[in-house]
Amino acid sequence: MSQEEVKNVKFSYSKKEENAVYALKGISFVIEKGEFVSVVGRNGCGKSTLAKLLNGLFEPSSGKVTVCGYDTKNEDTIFEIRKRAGMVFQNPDNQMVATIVEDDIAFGPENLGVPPEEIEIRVASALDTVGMSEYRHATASKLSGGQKQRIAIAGVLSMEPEILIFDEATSMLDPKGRGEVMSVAKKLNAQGITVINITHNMDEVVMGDRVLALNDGQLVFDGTPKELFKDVEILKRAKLDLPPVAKFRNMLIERGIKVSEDILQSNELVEEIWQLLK
Amino acid sequence: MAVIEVKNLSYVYSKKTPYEKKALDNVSFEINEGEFFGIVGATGSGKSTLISHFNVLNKPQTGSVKVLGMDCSEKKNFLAVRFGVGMVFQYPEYQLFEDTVAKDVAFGPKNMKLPKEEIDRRVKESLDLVGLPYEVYGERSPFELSGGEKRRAAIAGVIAMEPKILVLDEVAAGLDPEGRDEILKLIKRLQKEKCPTIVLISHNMDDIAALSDRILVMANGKIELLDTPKEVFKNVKKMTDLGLGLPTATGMQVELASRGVKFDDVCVTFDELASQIEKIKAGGNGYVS
Repeated sequence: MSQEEVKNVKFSYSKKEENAVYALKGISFVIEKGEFVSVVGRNGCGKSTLAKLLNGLFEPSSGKVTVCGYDTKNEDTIFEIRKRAGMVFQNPDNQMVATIVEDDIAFGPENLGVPPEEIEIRVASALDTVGMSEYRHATASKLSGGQKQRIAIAGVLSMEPEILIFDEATSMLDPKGRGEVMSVAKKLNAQGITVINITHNMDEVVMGDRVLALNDGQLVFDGTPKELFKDVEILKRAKLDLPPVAKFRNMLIERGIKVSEDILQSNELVEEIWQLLK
Repeated sequence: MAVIEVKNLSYVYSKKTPYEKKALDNVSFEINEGEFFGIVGATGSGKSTLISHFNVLNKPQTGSVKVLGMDCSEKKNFLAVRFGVGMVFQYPEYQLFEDTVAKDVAFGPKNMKLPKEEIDRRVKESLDLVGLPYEVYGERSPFELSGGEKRRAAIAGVIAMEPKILVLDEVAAGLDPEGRDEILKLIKRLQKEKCPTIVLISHNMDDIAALSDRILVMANGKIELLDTPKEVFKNVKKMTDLGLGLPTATGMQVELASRGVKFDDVCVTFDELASQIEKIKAGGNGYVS
């Protein structure tokens, strides 16, 4: 079942036709329920603009975005969309609304008019999912970056979304925090939630099933991570990098050490090197 | 010669309140002239508190900090220390504020009360150095630049003060791969041509391992390790337990070693690891099944 339908979408930050500069220049794709999709591209390629179109924070200048069957242009159903597609942003400090963790998580469902007993259940379950139950009564500002991002995710989860959109949500975190957030994303995806992860980190891309690459407001690639990292032309055009493991793989091949040309995971490469050495 | 000397430095936030937090706990070390000095540590380990002492944004509470031979506890030295140490904070592009790139870069030198010709010279030189030629970018608004360009413009503003020591906090975070590469290349170039002593904070173990002469590892306000990359990343368990992890190459080496491959030495870069694998495959020393 399709959850996000983006059809011929153009977007300009200026409303006036004559000085319109298009951040997105006619993009179309469909995301199905349960997918883990990464969105990549250089700074300024339109990734974050796209993210904000995917839950109706922005309306397309032309074209159409449909989320779970609801048109984002229709103001009457915008809350149906916001409820279903939750977003986690880059800076953990900018998305906390309450001082105590549980209040922060309850903020969303309270606004949706969820009954208090139900909120209680949702907060507990969301905290459990992100592994932060023991911090329920903690002061949000005292948490580490990774913990704050997990609270932000819990806040979105308490609205029981079908889609989670991460807009460079790990870029300000230390390695441990990044690991924590990505493993929560993986876990939620395994439970059937659609994950859309906007990132510069090619290791995160390898974790997903599908990747969309944007360049200069246009979709230049839509396929699996394996296909993307084989496509030297697209990588160059979209100014993308290989994941570290793939760089090492190429270095080995250049030196005449024969490992497979499409390896992206460190454990696979270790296995092949081991086979060659033993 | 030591350009930064930190002795028994401790720092407590919100002293004598319920929120009291010891951010630095009896820290001592030196940074030498011409050194590329890496600092790593989890969020909240005290890295930022520490570097804030290097240009007296924090004054030493207990212990002492000497920068370029000047005591950071003495008020008369503050200005000279601040001109001597260039700080590039996280997301420096948020600090751009003037209406043209050239004016923004000139802000520091202007505050140093330099003559106009000298300011102009420095603005031009700094912009050229960071790859934003004055003729092309000087009169543009900093807000029209791309993420990577903005960051380089912000760095130019710091370089224009011609500091002896450059301190960079997570300078590549949030940039696209191309922007990252450019910034890292720029830092190497700066060290060669402009500012020999560099202090770099990063969460990226690959970058830190490849660039640093020595690495300071911090946890809970204390020094855990201070050594060359090879010696630091030999402590596989410690680095993992601290939540910092290893360079990708070291991580793969550890995996191979656990299967029985014997290596001559710790590898912290892909280049080193590839050479070792090559050698072992050719039947050289080291390999035992």
